[in-house]
Amino acid sequence: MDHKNRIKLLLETMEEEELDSIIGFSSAAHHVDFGDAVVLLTGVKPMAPSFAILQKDGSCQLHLAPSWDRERGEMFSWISDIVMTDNIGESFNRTFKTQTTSPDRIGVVDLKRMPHLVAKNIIDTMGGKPKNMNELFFKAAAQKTDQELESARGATQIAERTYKHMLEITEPGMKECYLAAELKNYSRSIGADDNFMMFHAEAHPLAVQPSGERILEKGDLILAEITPSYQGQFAQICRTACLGPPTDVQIEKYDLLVRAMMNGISKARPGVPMKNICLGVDEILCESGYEEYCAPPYMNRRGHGLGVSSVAPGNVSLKNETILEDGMFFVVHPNQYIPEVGYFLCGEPIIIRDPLADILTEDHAALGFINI
Amino acid sequence: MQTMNLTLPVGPFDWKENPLSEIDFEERVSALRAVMVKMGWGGVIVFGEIHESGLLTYYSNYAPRLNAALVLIPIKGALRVLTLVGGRMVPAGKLTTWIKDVRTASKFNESLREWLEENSSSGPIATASFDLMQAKDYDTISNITEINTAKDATPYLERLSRKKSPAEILMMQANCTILSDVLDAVETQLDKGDSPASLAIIAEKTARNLGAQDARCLYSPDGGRNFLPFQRLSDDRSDPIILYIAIKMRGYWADGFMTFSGRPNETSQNTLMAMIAEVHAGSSVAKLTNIRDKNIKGFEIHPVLLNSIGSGVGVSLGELPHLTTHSQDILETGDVISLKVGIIDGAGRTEFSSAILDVQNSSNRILWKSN
Repeated sequence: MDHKNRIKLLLETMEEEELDSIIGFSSAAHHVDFGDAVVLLTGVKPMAPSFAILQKDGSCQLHLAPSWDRERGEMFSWISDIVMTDNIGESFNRTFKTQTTSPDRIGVVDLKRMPHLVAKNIIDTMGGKPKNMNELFFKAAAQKTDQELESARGATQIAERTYKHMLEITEPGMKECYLAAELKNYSRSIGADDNFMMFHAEAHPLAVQPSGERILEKGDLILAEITPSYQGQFAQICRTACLGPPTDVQIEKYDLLVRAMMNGISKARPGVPMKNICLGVDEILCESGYEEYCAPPYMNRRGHGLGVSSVAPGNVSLKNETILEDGMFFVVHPNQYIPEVGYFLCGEPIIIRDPLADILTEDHAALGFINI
Repeated sequence: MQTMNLTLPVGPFDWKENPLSEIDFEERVSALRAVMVKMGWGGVIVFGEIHESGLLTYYSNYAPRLNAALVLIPIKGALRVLTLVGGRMVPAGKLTTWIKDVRTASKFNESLREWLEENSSSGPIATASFDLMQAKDYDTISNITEINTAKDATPYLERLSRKKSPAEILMMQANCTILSDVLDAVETQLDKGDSPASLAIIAEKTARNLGAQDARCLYSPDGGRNFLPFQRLSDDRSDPIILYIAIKMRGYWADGFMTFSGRPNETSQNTLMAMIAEVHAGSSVAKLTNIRDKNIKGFEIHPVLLNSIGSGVGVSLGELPHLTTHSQDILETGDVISLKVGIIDGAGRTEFSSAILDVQNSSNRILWKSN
């Protein structure tokens, strides 16, 4: 799979939906949990709100802001038709005036993620409500391209090295947020263009949180959701480490979570619904007497897709009936509160392959231990 | 300057460590309430996004890190923060604000209606920074009459946040010290032959290690003709090496260009100094723009600064006064501005200089100046 195949899939979707064009918007507020239509259509991660128009003949035009960002646009884009702008509302109005297509034959993606006045201006300009193509558009990109999968492997390596770095440098007395900043710095120094890093520590955590200024103490459980992006593709590992020797109960319960995760991953293969992975995770936890904890607020989801082009196939949850396909990429994380020990993070990025999913990490999750 | 928005800012956000006091924030709220009385408003709702939370920060110190948030300011009584993150993330958010009442607005419409009903007798409400709100969020509340008929209070709030207090100036001085330390750290690394991309990483790292909540660089791969955010490692060298860095610490921003080269950047420096000499209360942005244009002989304005000579800085990098080339704004005592000169000649030779200034009655104080 490469971006040309993906565009072909999108064109097929357009044909099925009787669309002449799709306009994909990017608010440039990037997030691990969201896809980005402009990245997906052009390969460019915008710094400011931008959009790209894919026509049914396969041609594509990028409207990129700010206007001085052309060099980067040309460096990363696989299309050559780039219009630079500092005002996408005006740029859209100008472009739309030259369009002969009826608004009901135009699909839009992520228009609702744009600032509301910009979105309103665009809808007004189109003179009618365009068809929201979010779901079908990102679904068509559920299979990662070879390049994205290679980047996912690169991002996973960065994540693992970052975690090892954490084990080496962490000591009591450090402020949680400064340690998080150091890990962000470290991952950047080895190639991460971003790192969505939830990083939090306390003796009996109830959930993972963004970092605060709490000072690390002996006996803390350090929760590290390390999510670097490499060449625009996020990957995530979820790890837990004890600051000081772990207790027997902590070791036992973490092993339980690892077993649950591996049982879930063992269900992951082409042709089965995503929810089977979640059922596999829950199966082990329920057998061990934690059935009532397999629901919020004790857990949230058992994993999720990873941006930045598309987060399909979505969440690893009981509600997700999406049929898994070869080449899908997401993280499986049975992150879970266990009453005896607190909240644990445990998760691996996987690629769906037949007959078994490919776990991208070299060292799978195990309860970390920082000798002090 | 536009930079790449990064996910999940990491750094010291806790309220208990903030050099500002609750009294500072109460004074801000009192000043706003005086405006509310004058305008007949019963409350003001201020919105903030992760990447642009200026006015939200100004009244709450709340830091939206995972999703947008709002501070609800009634004409009297306690303030409330509504965050669009789920309830599990509320404890972390609570640590970042002086406001006791922090709630999740996972049911945004209901949460807002609840507050509006509690304050319905006080008069119409006004909103601020709502233009930043994503359509998907705005759509969920746009059927609330009080919201879709609300006056836009943004200009009033921008006006109130413009004049910096002595405590704010101290914080911004601390930010400028970080800029100086970043400059030193990069200079130290120059002899090792690092590429502009590597130096950008060092600049960001230095800022984060010194307490920046956000640090975003652009580096030039080609001696200043183009600027890129860090997207991949690169050993490509260039001369001169030019970086732009924006840092935020405790909610306040500072930014500027840094040039590393044996070659003098005389024209931009002289232009900047000529502009600085005219920075005082009462001076116009138009006059500063004229001074820039007269002093850049042989050069043209660089595209990254085509319509701008900088910006007001504080809780946002786009504060009053507006330093755009067509601005009619007049500088006032208490403004803090980031002045920038970026020029390019026909051969593609570039120069960049910048400074952060505290505008005073008949002069200014340089808080930071680039090399």
